[in-house]
Amino acid sequence: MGVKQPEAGSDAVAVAAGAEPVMDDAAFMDALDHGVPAPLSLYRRAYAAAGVPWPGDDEVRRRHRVTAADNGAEIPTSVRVLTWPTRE
Amino acid sequence: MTDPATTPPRPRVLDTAALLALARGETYAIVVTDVVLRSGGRLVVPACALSAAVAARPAAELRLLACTEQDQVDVDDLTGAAARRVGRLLARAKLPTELLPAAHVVHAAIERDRSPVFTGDPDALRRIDPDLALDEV
Repeated sequence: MGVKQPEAGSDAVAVAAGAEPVMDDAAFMDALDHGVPAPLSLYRRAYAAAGVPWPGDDEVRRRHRVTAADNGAEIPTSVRVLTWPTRE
Repeated sequence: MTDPATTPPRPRVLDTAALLALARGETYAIVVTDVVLRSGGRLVVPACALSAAVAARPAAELRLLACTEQDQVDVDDLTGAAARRVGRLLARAKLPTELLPAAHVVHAAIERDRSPVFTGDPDALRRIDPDLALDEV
């Protein structure tokens, strides 16, 4: 009897691969060049995840395409920092 | 694209699921990678993760190419020496070879002073290195 192997852990990849694109190719290339409209709260999460100090709301609005509405409702529920170093 | 007023952050490594999320145009994946690049940071795409993404979603190949051809995006090639180290990571964790792309992601992070990983599959990475810094995209 062999040792039971752990599952491959590829379920998340399979799910990601199966989902259809959320934008067409032209919109995708534009997004790569210029970003996508997103609420300030999502940018706040992204700055933390990227290890970049928050430069202030106005500066983020200048740098990125920030949507006006920002009540947090647009943040995907899957977005969460799992673990993070205490300092960069 | 880089804002000169900011200090470049440490590199961020992308795993297969994060690459697929980016290629699909998921908002958070686009936003967080955009923040890294505009801040002068670099994104690291391990070659095995890129291979797995293309294999899982062949239609996304051109988008993945566009992602990896951006300035400040580095494809981490699997050299002979790196291949042996990646294999040792899997062997040490007693994990199957299906997790080779994940092991390459972990290796790429470790080699860069344990850079954090943007991941869509944290469980796979945790099996290889429970202490890796992860952000789920």
